[in-house]
Amino acid sequence: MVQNAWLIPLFPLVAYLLLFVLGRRAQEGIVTAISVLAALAGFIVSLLILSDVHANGASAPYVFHWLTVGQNTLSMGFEVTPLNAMMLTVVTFISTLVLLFSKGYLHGDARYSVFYQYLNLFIFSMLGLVISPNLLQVYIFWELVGLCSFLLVGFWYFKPEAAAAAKKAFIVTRIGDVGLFIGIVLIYVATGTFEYSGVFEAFEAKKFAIDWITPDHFITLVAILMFIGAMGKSAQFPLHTWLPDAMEGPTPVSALIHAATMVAAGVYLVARAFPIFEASPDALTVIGIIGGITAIFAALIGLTQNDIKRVVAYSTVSQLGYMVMALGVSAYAASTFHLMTHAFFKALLFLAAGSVIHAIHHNQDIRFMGGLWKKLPLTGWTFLIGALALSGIPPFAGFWSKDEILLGALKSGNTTLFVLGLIAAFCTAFYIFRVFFMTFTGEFRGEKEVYEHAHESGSVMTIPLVLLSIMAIVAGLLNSPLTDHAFEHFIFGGGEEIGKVYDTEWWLAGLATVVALAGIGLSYLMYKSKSINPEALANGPLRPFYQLSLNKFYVDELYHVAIVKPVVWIGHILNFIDKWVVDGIVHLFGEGTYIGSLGLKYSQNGQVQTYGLVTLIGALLLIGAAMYAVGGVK
Amino acid sequence: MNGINGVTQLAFSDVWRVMAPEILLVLGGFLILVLDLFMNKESSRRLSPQLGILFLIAAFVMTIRNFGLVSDQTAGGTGELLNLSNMLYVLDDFGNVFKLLFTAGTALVLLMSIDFFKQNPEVKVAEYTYLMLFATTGAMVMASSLDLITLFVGLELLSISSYVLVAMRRNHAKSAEGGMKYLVIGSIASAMALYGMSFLYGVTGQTNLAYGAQTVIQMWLQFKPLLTLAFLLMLIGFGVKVSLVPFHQWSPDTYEGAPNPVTAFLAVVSKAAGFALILRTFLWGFSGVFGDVYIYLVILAALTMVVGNVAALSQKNIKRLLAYSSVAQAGYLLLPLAVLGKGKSIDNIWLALGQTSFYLVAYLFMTMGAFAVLTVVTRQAGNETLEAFRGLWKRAPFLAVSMAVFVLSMAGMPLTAGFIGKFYIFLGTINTEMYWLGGLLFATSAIAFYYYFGVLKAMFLKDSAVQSHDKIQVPVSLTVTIAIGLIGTLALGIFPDLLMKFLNGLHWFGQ
Amino acid sequence: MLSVEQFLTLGAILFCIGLFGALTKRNIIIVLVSIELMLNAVNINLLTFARFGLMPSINGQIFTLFTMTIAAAELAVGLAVLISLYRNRNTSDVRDQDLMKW
Repeated sequence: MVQNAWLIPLFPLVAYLLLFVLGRRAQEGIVTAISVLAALAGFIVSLLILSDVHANGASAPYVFHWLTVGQNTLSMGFEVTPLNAMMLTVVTFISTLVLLFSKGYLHGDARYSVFYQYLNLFIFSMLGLVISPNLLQVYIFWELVGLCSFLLVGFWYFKPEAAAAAKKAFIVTRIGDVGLFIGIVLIYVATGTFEYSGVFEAFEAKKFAIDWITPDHFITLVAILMFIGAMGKSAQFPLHTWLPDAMEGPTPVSALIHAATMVAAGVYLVARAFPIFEASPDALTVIGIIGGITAIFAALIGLTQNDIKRVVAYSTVSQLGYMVMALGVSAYAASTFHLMTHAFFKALLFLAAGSVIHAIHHNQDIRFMGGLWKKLPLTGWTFLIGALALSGIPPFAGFWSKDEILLGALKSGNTTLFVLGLIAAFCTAFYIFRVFFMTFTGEFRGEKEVYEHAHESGSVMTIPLVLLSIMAIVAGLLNSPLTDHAFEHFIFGGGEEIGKVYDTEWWLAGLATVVALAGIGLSYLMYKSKSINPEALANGPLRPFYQLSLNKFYVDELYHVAIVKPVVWIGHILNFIDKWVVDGIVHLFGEGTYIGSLGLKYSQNGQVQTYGLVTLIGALLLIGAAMYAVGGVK
Repeated sequence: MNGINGVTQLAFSDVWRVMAPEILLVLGGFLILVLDLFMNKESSRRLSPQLGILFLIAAFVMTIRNFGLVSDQTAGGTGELLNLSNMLYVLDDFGNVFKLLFTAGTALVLLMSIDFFKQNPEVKVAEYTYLMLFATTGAMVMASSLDLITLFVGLELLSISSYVLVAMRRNHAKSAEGGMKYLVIGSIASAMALYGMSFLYGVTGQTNLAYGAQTVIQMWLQFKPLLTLAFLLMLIGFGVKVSLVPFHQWSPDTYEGAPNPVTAFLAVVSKAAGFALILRTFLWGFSGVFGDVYIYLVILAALTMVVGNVAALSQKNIKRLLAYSSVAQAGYLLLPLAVLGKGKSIDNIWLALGQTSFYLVAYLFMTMGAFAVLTVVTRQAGNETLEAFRGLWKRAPFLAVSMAVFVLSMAGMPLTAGFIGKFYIFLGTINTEMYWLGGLLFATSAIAFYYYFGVLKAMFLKDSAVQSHDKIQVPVSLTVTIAIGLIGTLALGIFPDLLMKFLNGLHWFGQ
Repeated sequence: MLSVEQFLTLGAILFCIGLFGALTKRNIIIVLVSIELMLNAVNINLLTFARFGLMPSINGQIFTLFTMTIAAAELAVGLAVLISLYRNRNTSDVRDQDLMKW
C-alpha cells in the first residue's frame, strides 16, 4: 500500500483541477461533493497506509531521478514514515470534516467555488509537503502552502483587515522562509544532497564540503536557520504576530490551516529533520527556550482577549510553543503526539467557535455573547469537550500529550521550562473557560433579536463537530499507559527511539490536573458565579498586567516603534534619495537599456557591408587586445 | 599511425558501417535529384519531402546504432577511439549526439516545409529537399571530422546549401536579399577561418587536430602570437556562423528574409553544427593551451548574451525578435565551453558537453515549435509583427498556449526545458567559480522575460486586431510539429533526467 | 631566394585587399571577386607553409585544392543569388539591398 502514497495528494489536486475547469459558477452541491469525496478518498488511502506502516514499519523513499548535475543527482518522489503516515491521516481526516463544515459556513458566498479551489490546492500542497523525501521538495511545497494561506486569509479581500492580515501573514512567514532557504542551500553546498537520509548521514559523520566554519558550528548554524523557517510557519515568538491576525480569514480556514495543519508544518519539519537538530545541543537549547517563551507568552495574552477566534488563535500559538519546547528538550514522541491531539481538539474548538459565530450573524466578540447553551446545545457540548481537552483534564486528549511534554521538560533538568509550562497550563485552562462561560452561560448581552433567531446549525456543520469531539476524547488514550504507549511504539516504527522517552509520573499528572482545575475554578468564580469581579481586578491592583496582556504585550506596538517607525523615517530619507537618485539611476538603467536597444536596432542599417565592417572592427579589437596581451605587439 | 595511442584504426570497408548516416543522406539526396528528373512535377512535389524525411529517419536510426558501436568498443576494455583514415574521421558519441540533433531537426524542418510548399508553388520542392539533405550531411561531417580539410568541406557544404535555401523563393525580393547578405558575410567569415587554419597548419605542419594538438603544446611558447591569431581568426569565422556578437548582424536580416522553415533550420541545425565545430576544434586542437585562450570566449559569450537580449527588447517584428533571441541563445551555448578555461578537469569537460547538448536539444524543441506557430499566425494575419499575435488566445487557444510554452521556455521559466538547460549551464559557471558569468546569465534572462512578456501580453491580454474572428486552420504537418515541440519542451522541463541520464552515460570522445 | 616572410606578407596584403574590396565595392560581382581574392590569399599561405613551413607536408597543397573547388562553388551560388536579386530589384548595387533593416 505504501507505494501508492502518491495518490493521497493527487486526489485534492484532481479536485482542484476539476473545480478550476467547472469555473466559479459551479453549483455548491457539486463543488462540495467533489472536494469532500477527494479528501475522503485520501483519508481512506491514508488509513490503509497507516495500518501498513503499523505492520511493516517505514520503507525507503520512492524517488525518480529528476536532474543529474555532475556527480550529484537530484530526485523527486515520496516517502512514508510512521511520522508522516500519522500526519497524512490527521490532515486528510480534518480536511474532510472542514470541507464538509464549509458547506454550511460559506453557503451563499459569491466565490464559494473559488474557496473550495483554494482549499483543495492547500490540501494538495500540505500533503505534498508531508510526503516529500527531500528538502528541495519540502521547500517548494512549503512556499506553496504559504501562498494558499495568503490566498485564504485574504479570501474576503474586500475587508481591509483581511487584506492587511493576508499581507502580514505573507511577509512575516517570508522572513522565516528566507532562513529556511539559506539553511537548505547551505546543506546542499556542504553535503551535495537534499535527501533526508543523505543529509542525516553527513551530519552524523560531520563531514562537510565547507571549510570556512567548523563542523560543529556549521551544524548549529544550519539548525538555527532551519528553525527560523519553522518559527515563521509555526508562529513562534517573535514571529508569531501574523497568526492572530490571520483569523480574519473564514473560520474553516482557521480550523484547517491555522490550527491543525499548516502551522504544524514548522513542528513537523523540525521533527522530520530531528537528527540535524539533535547533532547540535546549542540549537536544541535555543529551540526549547523559544518554545517555552512562546507557550507562556501567548497564554498570558490569551487571558484578556475578547474576540473568540483570537483567544483560540493565541491558544494555538501557545500550544505550538509547547510542541517546539518538547522538541527542544528532545521529547520527540511527546511533541509529535501533542501535534496530533492538538490538531483534533483545536480544529474542534475553531469549528465550534465558527458554529457560534455563524449562529449569531458573524459577531465574534464574547462580550456580546452569553447564554447560548440553550440555543446551541450541541455546539456547547462540543466546545466544552474541546475546552476540557485543551485544558488537559483527564481523560481528554490534551491531558495525555501535555502531561508528556511537561514530563519531558522536567526530566531534561530544565526546571524553568517546566515551571513556564505549568503556568501556561494554568492560564490556558483559565482563558478557554472564560470564553466558555462568557459564551454559553449567563444572559445574552447582544441584541435580543439576534438571540431569538440563533439556532443550531445544520447537520453538515454538526457532524464534523461530533466526529472531532470523539477524537478529542479518545485520541489521547493512544499514548496513555492504559494502551502501553502504543503511539510511541508506532512513531519509532519498531526501530530505535528518537529523542528521549520517560515513564509516566503519576504525581506529575496529578499536579497538572490540579493546576488545570484551578484555572477552570478561577474562571468559574470570575465569570460564572461572579464571586470575583474581573472588572475590579482589571482596574485594580492588576491593572498594569491586564493592560499588558490585553495589548498583547505591545509586541505589535513595539515592532511599530522599534522597527516600523524608524524604517518609515529612514524610508522618508531614502525615499528622497530614491526619488532623485536611485530612481534616476534605475530609470537611466531601464531607459538606457531601451535606448541601447534602439541604438542596436538602428545600427542594423540593412547594408551588408556595414555588417561586414562591424564584424571586421570586432575582429580587429579582439585580435589587437590578444596581441597586446601575448606581447606580440609592444 | 604515428604516435597516438589509444586509437583503433578502422579498415576502409568499415566506412559503410560507420558512416552509414552520412552515406544514407547523400544517397537520398541524389535519389531525390534523379527522381525529380523523371517524374512529373506534381508527384515530385508530393513525394520529395516525404522521401527526404524517410531518409532522415533512416539516418537517425543508423546514428542510434552507432552509439552501440562506440559503447561496444569502450566495453571491449581498450578504450580506444574508432577512426577512419588516420583520424580524419572519428566515431564517438559527441558526433553521434549532434547527428541525432541534426537529423531530427532537419526532419522537423521538412515536416514544416510541406505546408510552405503548398503556399509557395514557385519553390522547387525537390531542389529544396535535397539541398536540406546535403546541408545536413555537411553538418554531420562537421561533427565527426578531426581534420581541418574535412571540417572545412563540411562547413562549406552546409553553408553553401543554406545560402541557396535562404534565397529559394525566387520571386521574393527579401528572400534573395537575405541570401545575398548571408552569402557575403558567410564567405568573408569562411575566408577568415581559413586564414586562421592556414596559420595553424603553418605552425604545426598538420591539418589534423588530434596530431596537431600535440604540436600546438610544444610550439605554444615559441609561436604564441601566431597561434593566438590562428585561434582568433577561426573563432571569428565560426562565430559568424553561430552569430556571436559582434559578428551577428547578418542574422536578423537573413532570418527575416528566409522562408520560415529555413529560418528554423538556420536557427537550430546550422547553429548546432557551428557549435559542434567550435567544440571539436577548440577542445581538440587547442585543448593543451585552452587556459590561455578561453578569455576570448568568455568575452564573446558575455557580449552575446547582453547584446542579443538588449537588442531584442525594442523589436516589434516577431521573426527578428526570434533572431535576436537566437543570438542570445548562442551566448548561453558558448558559456559551458568558455568556463572550461578555469577548472578544465575531465569531469568538467563532460559536464560542459552535457550542458551544451542538453540546451541544444531543448532549443531544438522550443524553436521548432515557435516557428511552426509563427508560420500559421503570421500567414493568417498577413504581417510578421507582434500585432499578428493579438488576441490569439481567443482565436486559437491551442496555438496561444503552445506559443506561451515556447517563449517561456526560451526565457527560462521553471517546468520548461529552457529553464533546466539554463539552470544546468548556470551550475557549470558555479562549478568553475565564474560567478559573474552566472549572474550575467540571470540578468540577461530577466531582460528576456521582459520582451517575451510582450508576446504573452499580445496573445492573452489584447483584443484581436484581425477583423475576422474565424478559427485558424492549422495544417496537419504543422500541428504535428507544434505537438512534438510542446511535448519535448514540457517533458524535458519536468523529467530532465530522461535526457540528462543518457547524456551523462556517454563516451563523448570515445573514452 | 624568397623567404617565408615575403610570401606571408604577400598573402596578408592580398587578404587585406580582398577584405577592403568586399567591404567597399558597390557592385556585387566585384564584392564576390574580392572574396575570391581573400580565399586566394589563404591559398598562398597554405602553399608557403607546405613548401617552406616548419614542418613541410603535402597536406597544405591538398587543402588548397579543396579551397579552390569550394571557392568556385561559392562563387557560382553567389552569381545565382545575384541573378535572382537582379530580377527582383533591377540593380546589382549592394547598397540598394536594404529592404530589411532595423
